[in-house]
Amino acid sequence: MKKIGILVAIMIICFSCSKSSGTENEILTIEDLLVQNSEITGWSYSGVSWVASSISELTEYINGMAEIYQKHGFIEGAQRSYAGTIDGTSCAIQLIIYDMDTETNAEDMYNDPDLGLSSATVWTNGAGTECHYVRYGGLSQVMTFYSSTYFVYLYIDYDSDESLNILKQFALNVDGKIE
Amino acid sequence: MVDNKKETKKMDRRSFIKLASATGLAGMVAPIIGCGENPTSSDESSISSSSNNSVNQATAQAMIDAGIKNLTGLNDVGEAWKSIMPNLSATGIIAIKVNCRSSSLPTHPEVANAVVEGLVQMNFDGISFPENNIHIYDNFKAYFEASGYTLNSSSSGVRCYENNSYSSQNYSVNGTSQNLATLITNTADYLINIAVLKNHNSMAGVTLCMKNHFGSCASPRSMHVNYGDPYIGALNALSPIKTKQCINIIDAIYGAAEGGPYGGPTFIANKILMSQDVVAIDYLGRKMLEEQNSSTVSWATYIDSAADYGIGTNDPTRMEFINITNPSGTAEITSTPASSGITACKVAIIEDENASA
Repeated sequence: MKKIGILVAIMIICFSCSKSSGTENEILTIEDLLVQNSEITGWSYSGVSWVASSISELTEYINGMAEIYQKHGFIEGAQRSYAGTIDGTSCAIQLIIYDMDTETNAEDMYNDPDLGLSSATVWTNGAGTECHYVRYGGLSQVMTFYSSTYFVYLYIDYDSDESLNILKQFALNVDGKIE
Repeated sequence: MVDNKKETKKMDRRSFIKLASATGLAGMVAPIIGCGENPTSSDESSISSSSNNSVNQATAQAMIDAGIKNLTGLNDVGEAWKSIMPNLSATGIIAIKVNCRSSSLPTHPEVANAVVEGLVQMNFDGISFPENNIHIYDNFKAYFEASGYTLNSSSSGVRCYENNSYSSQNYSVNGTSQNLATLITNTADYLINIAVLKNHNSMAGVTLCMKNHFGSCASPRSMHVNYGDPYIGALNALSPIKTKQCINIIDAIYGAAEGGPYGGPTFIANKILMSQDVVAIDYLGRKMLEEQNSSTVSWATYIDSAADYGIGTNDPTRMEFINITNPSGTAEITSTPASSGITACKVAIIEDENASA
């Protein structure tokens, strides 16, 4: 009886260990970091999506722009596109997450002038370690941030305070998953 | 090719294709390629992901028609198009290279459609040029569809498809080996290049008509050095491209002065440029981006190097400019002769404030 009790106790301990280690060791893929379908109310999957695990694959998807990412240590990336409505107008969002291998690389990517975002407005206390955005006069907006080893790019084909707010929601969603 | 179900979806500031009866544009045939909302690459949503940089189809038509007529000096649209393809027959094939690398700012389907509309007005002894002999192509299917094009490889209607067939012949492009699309090398009799007005942040400085042909070859990455200089010019000097390309068009209704080639529009220009000189048109496109203070135009030295390959001129004093404004209304047309007295080419600059819907 005593031996059975010890055996049961050992089994319980082992089960608890495996359960907790399973939770601690849960690893999100880069696709898991993307905003999921309708996770943000009103925004569902629509259009181009891809996952790239090499520069060759990335080149297939973003062509010449892959050069910049290669320069900064690109490991893998994933894109999702979303459709929603703002002010009664159908809009599209592109979200791309790049794993740049190190936080330094991600920061360098964020600050690379070749992205053409040198005039961006910083979003103070926004997503990631640092985040900024550009508003293109009534046409579109781009927002980027970096967090951990990730560089995140967001684009929306609309420009209003509301569309900026939507981009911020997307950014915070992704940042939360990275953390 | 037009999906009527999509046409009855909610109307917003996006430019939807309307049938001739709805617009009152008597004589305008129904659109040949699908525009506006289109199937996406995933089945998860019926809403198109194409950008809000919408284009008015009727205005685009007026702009293209005015451009080709004034470039050729011919008052009939079909005859004007025929005049730049002198060896074309009713059984010939015309390939149209568009740029849909970014669905945020692609060659707008409305502009491509306007070209197609003109081509089918070509008459060969009573036979209209068959729309099925027109092949619109680019090289990434998902972006193509997301840009608003309806893909079609069937034996009826305008063909519109992702090219993934390359000739086995190796062409040397400044030391790199390139294989061109068989559509260009074997199939097409003539080639029309419709690019977009974009800067190129990562490599070339700008991406216009000449760079558009990176999507016509199998290994463009090997030409991504030295800002594409002189590779881009050398590519366009290859015989299949140089001899078959009869006209170049830049869809400059919207432009991206920063964030290209992948980003969306940063300004509205409401212009379309047309010229048979690929260097001249790229020179002007670069100039337009420079005027928007694009930070990368100085990289685009490939345009100047291209002139050395005998495929066109980067000398504005040798260009005759045909400025056409408001073709959708009362058109104003002014022609400025080449200031040097030597005309190497003509460039039509067509502007209409109604182009951006």
